[in-house]
Amino acid sequence: MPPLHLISGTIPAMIPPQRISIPLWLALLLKKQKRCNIIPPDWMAYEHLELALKEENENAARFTDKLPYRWLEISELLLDGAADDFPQYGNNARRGEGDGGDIRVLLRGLREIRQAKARAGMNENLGGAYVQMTGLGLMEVTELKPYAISVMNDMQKLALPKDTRQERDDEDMEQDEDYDDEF
Amino acid sequence: MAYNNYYDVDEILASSQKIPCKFRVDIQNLGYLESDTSQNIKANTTILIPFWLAPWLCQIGRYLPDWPDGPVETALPACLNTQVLAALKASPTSLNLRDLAPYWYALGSECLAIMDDDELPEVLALTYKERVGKLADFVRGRRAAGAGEGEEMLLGLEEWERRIRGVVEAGRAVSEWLGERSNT
Repeated sequence: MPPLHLISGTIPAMIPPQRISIPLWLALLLKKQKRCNIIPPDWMAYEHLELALKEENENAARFTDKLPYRWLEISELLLDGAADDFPQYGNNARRGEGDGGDIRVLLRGLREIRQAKARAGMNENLGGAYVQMTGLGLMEVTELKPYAISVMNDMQKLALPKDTRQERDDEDMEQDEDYDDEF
Repeated sequence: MAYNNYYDVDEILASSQKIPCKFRVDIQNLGYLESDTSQNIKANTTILIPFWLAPWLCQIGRYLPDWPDGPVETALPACLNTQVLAALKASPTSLNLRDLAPYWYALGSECLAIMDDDELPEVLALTYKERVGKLADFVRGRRAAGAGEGEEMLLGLEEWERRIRGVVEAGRAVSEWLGERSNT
């Protein structure tokens, strides 16, 4: 296939059977037309995901750093469009065709435990100064964002005057101190 | 009151809720606020004043040397009285806030700004946190658990809570996307 010149950059010529890195959308398109095979990313290997899930299970307080920012979207799209390109594991290997089924189970487990954690953290920290979200993927943040923002806004409205009163007291005290200095 | 949006209907409705104000002075020719018959407002009369006006009446005191605290004295409205606060403190989900006031939190937040009350800030924050947390859990789990127990809670939602409910439901789009795709 000849090079593609696009606004976002040029995609070099593709010569089978060479490997090449191309955007996900193009890979999925070519896959659909049965013109390429997709090599799953390293982090979607069974062993890696198993490790990530284990880490996720062991740490209640934080999220694993073994997943990329857009793991949810990429994995979903890849398993949807190119499931037969995933290597086979366990029982599936004997059946011949790989279908990414085991990986799907692992990913589902990851998603559930991370979601549970995010919600627990959310309920705990509601109305606090901030909500810890380090390690959450784009999709997961997006899912929680509108809720978090609304609740933080409302909590601020319900708590603000107390702070201003505090500030007022502080100001008074500062003024008193100034007087002390003068006399 | 901080206005976020001039044409926000919710804000207009919220700010037309009334709080009781006791007048410290006689006011000429404003008796119609109290009833049709009286000509003037007499001192020590309590009248319900919408809270777009009440804070202003409190604040103008600083320009009136005769009444430095303002011409009126505000009190907590009935939907924020001691019994209500005590009940909410005991169990934030026990009351139907919608029946108390459709914009109960907005009213509470406004009262915070113009009145000193030891319990109010704590109760407001606790109530909100508890109720919204429960609401969000319920809305998210609704599909799985099936309708039933929480329906009563949904009926008693105050306007701020309704907004949160809508927001949480919007967040479900992600799981719907994932669910649909993995089913095919």
